[in-house]
Amino acid sequence: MTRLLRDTLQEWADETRVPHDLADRALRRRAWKPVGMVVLAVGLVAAIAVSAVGLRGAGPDVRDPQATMRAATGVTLPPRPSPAPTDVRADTEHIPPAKLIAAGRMAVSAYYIARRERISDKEQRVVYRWSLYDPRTDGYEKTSWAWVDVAPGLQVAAVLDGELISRRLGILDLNTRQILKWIDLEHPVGSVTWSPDGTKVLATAYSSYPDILQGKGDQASPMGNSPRTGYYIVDVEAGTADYHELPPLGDGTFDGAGQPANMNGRQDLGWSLDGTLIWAPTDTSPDRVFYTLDGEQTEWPKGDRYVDYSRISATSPNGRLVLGRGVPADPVGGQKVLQLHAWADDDNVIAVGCAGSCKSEFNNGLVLVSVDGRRTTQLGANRDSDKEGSWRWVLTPR
Amino acid sequence: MDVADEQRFREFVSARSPALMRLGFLLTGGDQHAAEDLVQTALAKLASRWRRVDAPEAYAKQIMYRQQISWWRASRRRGEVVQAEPPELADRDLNHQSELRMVLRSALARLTARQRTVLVLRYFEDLPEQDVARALGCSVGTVRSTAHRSLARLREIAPELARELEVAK
Repeated sequence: MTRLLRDTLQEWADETRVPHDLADRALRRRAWKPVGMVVLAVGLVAAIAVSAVGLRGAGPDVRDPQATMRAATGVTLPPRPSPAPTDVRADTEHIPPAKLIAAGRMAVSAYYIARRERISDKEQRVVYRWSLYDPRTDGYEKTSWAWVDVAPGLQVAAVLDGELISRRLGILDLNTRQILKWIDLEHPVGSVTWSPDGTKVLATAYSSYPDILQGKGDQASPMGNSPRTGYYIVDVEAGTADYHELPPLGDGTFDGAGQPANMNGRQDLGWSLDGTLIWAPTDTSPDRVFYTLDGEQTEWPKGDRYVDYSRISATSPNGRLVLGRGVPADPVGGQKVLQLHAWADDDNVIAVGCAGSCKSEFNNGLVLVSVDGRRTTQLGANRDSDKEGSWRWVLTPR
Repeated sequence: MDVADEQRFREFVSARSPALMRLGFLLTGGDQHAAEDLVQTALAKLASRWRRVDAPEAYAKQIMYRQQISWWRASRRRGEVVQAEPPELADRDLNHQSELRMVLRSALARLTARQRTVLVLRYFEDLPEQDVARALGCSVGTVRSTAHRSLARLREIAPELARELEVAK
């Protein structure tokens, strides 16, 4: 019996999956606070400020003195709507959503579903299937682009042609579904993101597909050596594409304690809030390292506060309140808010939570929660966020 | 927790989470979500005391053992994992070890959290009775009697295993 019991337990334990983000979850949970306090202002500003330490001098000198400039023909972008709509739009019936989800100044402009593909016995890759906001139907349209990002204003999107990484970047008119301009690139890129003013595209270049995992099944994990090579800054209206080298951050294995590191293959770059700098993500804390547009490492821009591991500002539009790290718990009516994602307006925050009954922390959806925690409106249906194949939204200013 | 602490914590989690998840999976009777919840809770507590803990893995496990039992004690918050009745195997030949193990799994999932925890600590973690008692904050006598009752309960749930269980005596 003892033998049978031991063997059974060992074999059974093999069936568990090890989530890759347990440390993040634990650190987040440690910081949970009641949402009634939606950690407004003062206390939180201090907490966030802790992560905003300067990074001057850290890491290798990655400046590329010989940036390549490629000429292209510019394109006139359609104007952003003024004033931008601010109504609340929900779709709590469909998973993934079939109708636009939006609240206040932000909208779900696109979403993706990630799934794993087996490459060999030892390797898998994560691939993304993107769906893009379609103003003609007020819903979302499945696409075959390798990557997409919608510009603020929801009029155009930058898209990458192909399946994995791409040398062809397109500017897509969302209303007509026509490509306004193709831009050919010398180095393949794996992601695109619009500048806050919607005039430039930052495209992160990789020598090979970055989303490769080593290992079998759910035990697979990042390989620890990112193939990032640099980035392009594409000025869409001027028609230029400047390339700069920017090697990946180390994976933390051989770096000294406290050095920013990232063991993920995908290390997509992002814009600072005013678009004058760019940042590279870390998987350490602080969660990003800043560079000038030329790729020279620089200090964290004064006053910039971000939702953790996101491009979105943590500061309310009127500048008075700052979203906390982690946050949430059990506010009114047994409703739970799990993560705060973006300010819809000065009084309401787009968050992840459940306005109904959640089976677990990972069974959740997009909600709109008032800063006093009294009102929660479900924006999207609950989904099992931890499950492969669940949809992941991208929020963009309307 | 400063940046260096956080990095060390992340390294610890990266290295030891497979072992913690395996334990959590068994303690919760094969419930992946409950196991993740259990491990997360333990890691969050560990993170908040990171500098004061000398043996982080032992500390995390200790939290998991007690948490699992206290959940059961407190409010049946998780309840027992409700499983379908064990497969009807009475008429089938159970010579195959793999089939026996499947029956035993199903029976283990139907034990109370406390019963299962004692068996997991004794037969998976390989802890002597004294250590199990210390981990669970009870007497050696309680550990012994709980283990005895747990095995009896397994026999009851899965009569097909009776012969195997008898042999173990």
